[in-house]
Amino acid sequence: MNNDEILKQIESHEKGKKDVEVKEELFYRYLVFWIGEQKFALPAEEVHEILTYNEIYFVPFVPPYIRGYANRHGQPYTVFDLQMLFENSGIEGSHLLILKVPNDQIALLISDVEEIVKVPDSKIYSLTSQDETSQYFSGAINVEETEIFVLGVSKILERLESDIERS
Amino acid sequence: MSDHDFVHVLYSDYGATHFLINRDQCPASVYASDTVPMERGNNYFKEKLIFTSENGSEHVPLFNLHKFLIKLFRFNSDVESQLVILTPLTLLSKETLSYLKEGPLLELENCRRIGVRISSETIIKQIPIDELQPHSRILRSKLKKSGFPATHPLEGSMGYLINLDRIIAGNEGKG
Amino acid sequence: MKRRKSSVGLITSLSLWTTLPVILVLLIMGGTTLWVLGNRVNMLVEDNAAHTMRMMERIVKTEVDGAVKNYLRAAAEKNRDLMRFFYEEAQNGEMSEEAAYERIREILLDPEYGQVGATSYLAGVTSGGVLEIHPVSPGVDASGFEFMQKAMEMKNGYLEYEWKNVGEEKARLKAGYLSYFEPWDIMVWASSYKSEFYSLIDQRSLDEQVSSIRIDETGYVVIRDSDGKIIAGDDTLNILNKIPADKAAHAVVDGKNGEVRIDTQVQEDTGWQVSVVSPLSPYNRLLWLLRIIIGLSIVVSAVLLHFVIRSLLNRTLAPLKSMRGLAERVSQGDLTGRIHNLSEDEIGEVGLIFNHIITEFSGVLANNKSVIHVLSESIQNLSTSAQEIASTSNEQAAAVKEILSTMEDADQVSKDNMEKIEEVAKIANNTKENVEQGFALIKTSLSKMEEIRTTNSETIVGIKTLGERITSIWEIVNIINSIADQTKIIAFNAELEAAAAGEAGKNFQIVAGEIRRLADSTVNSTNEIKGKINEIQHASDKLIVASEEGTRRITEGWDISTNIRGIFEEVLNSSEISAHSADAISRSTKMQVSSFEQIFTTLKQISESIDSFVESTNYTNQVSDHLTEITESFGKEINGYTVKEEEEE
Repeated sequence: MNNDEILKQIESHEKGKKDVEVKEELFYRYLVFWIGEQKFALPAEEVHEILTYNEIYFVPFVPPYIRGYANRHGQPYTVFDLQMLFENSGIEGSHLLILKVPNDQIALLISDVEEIVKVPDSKIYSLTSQDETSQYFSGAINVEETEIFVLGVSKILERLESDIERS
Repeated sequence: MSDHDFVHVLYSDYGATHFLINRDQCPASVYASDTVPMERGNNYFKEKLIFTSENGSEHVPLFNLHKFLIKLFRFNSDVESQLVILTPLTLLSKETLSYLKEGPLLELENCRRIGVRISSETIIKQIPIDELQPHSRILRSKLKKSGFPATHPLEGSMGYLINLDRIIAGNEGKG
Repeated sequence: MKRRKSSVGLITSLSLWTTLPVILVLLIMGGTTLWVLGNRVNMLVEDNAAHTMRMMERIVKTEVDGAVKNYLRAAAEKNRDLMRFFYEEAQNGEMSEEAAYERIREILLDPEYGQVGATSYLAGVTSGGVLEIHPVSPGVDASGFEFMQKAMEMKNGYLEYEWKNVGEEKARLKAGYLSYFEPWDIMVWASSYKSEFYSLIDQRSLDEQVSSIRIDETGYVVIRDSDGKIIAGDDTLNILNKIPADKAAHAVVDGKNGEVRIDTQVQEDTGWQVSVVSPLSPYNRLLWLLRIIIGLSIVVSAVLLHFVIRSLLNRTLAPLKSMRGLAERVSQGDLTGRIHNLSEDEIGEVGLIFNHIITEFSGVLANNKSVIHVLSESIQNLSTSAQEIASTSNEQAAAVKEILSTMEDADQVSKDNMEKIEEVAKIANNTKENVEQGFALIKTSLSKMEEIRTTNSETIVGIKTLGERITSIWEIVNIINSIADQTKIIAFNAELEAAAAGEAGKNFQIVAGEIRRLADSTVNSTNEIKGKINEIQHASDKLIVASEEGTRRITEGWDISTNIRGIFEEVLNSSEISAHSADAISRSTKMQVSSFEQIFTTLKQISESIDSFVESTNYTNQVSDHLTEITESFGKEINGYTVKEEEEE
């Protein structure tokens, strides 16, 4: 091959790439983290920040899965322990996920952060079964052949509201 | 503007948690050493003070807020409190008054004020208003109803503003 | 004594052995007789049958021949007469002679008329043997043939000859009849094969003849043709069909009244089967009777003979029985019996001698018995006195010996004591030296232990310092780790921000990713370091524990050594005392020993003399013991025999 030909090929590949890009699937970013021994995911847009070593202050009159308040920038954040919610057993939790919930300050107590993954549309599923726990999931993503549930924050908040109302 | 707004509070420090009581709710305070048990007492209304003056003897039922908070927040404190703040009945809400009158105040003669035992580690402070924060929206109504209308988040300690009125009436017998 | 066969058994075997040959002879004789008889009978029957068969042959032949001859004769003479007729016609002038000759010729040669039998024909033959008139070979001179020559000679009559037609393989028996007409010199020849005429025979006549034949009253003859159909006779016993195929000629078959012999012969020329049925049953019955008689007589004679001999023997051998009984008694030791009722023969003599022997023997025994009695008594006396002497001396010797052994013991004891005491003195001295040595050793050990203790403590301090150093490293590692963790979180947060920023944050995102990966790797490395530090920490922990253990042990050792030192000092003191006392004891013991020895020697001398005395008495004792033994055993033997009180010779 002479240089001209090589060049042509490269350029055609580039075009091809562009074309491919156009036809490319949409990718979505998810934050994958651990609550206890379980992996969960949240769309990256729903997470504001990850904090470490935050003290949680006890709050009375709340369900047991609300561990209390965390102080972020002088504001109290309601801290959820989802393992307590799902399995009635609390985690030690060293990190807090600060969620982007409009008009409120909500945080999730988590054990560790795993990674931020880019998931193609094709690997995002909605859930078929609606059992006790899966009502809190908005779906699932397939990452490296593993299925990771995606948390549905609004559902979780709804649960808290109804629990508070009842008490 | 908010920088210049302050509020006088009674600041009770319990370590990782502290409590603020609006001074306006409790103008007077006294060291209570000798109290008398109340016959018709409940969980936290177990004693009363008797003031004798030229007007006669005044019975002041005591709400042991200190014990209440210890129980509610699960503090590891067994220190007795000797400080009592006094709130005239006029400052209390209708509901609270009616509740009290049917319970602890029932047989008390000449009762014009109630007392509230608070931690001996209480000091008076001036707190800038913008240090106070509302509760997380989702918990707001519940906590307000229970007598903790607002929070005071500090580095290393979470504070709660206390509404005496609601605390006495909303939680009497509970906790 | 082994028991011999009883005389009863002997008689039985003797009688058996004498009877047996007789029986044997009888059996042989009887057997032979029967066998010979049987054979004779068979031969008789056979001969009879053969004879009958021959007779039958002749009968058949005669019948057949007769039939054939008659037929041919008729044919020949008839045609001769015809020839004469035509001749006379010619003589009468009715025709010429040639014409007449020609006429008869025609007639004779006519195929239909001239046929004789199945294949033969009429012919005219001259006396010279020329076939004048012949359908096949006219004019041929057949005078050369033997049969023709015979015919030329005969001119008239019957003859048989073997003839083979042209074209045939085998010659067959031919029969012919001649009738000579002289005027024309022509023998009218009517011949034919005999076999073609078998059907002509007069069956009735044959049957009559055959049926009349009787063999031993119930036997008969039957003639069947080649197909098996009965031509003559009657199978009254109906047994011809029972003949087995392989025994067609001579068979013995079971009939109604017993065995029957059937001999069958096939006639060559007719092919007929002539069967002679001869009954064997009368003969069989006779034979059986004879067998029974002979058998019975043998048995009876055997039994009789056996018993006769038996009783004879019994009588003869009876005395032997009593002799045997007596001999047994003697062997048991009973000499009182004698044989009585002695017979006059050789056996009786033996009995006499036997009695005599026993009597003699009894006498000898009786004498011996009395002698032994006397001997026994004297030996007894001798023995008793010897024993008395021996026992006395034994007692003396025993007494002296006791004194001696006691003295020996005492002597020995003193000697032992002396030795032991000397040993003790030696040991005591040794001990003192050893203790002093040991003492010095301990001093050395103790100082060494002190050194060890010091070194050990320093080691432990060193280990502890190491432990502290490790702890500080640990802290550093932890710090690094936490920084890495924090970095990681910062990177995450950066990515999140970048995601929120969209396109603008893409680059930033990449950077954030890199930072995160760096943080991850840092965390990994610090984890490794943590692991290693853990190991070291564990090792040093173990080391401390071991060293502390070691220290403990050392302390123990130190304590023990100190104790030992104290003990040694005590021993040293006591050993000094012991050595001194041991010497004193040793000296006094020596004196005691020498006085003992003097007494000892004297006693020994006394003992020796007693010993020799005892020896000689013992010897005497032994001798008498021995004698007693002998007499006793002898006496026992003799006493085993019972003897008659008084003897009569």
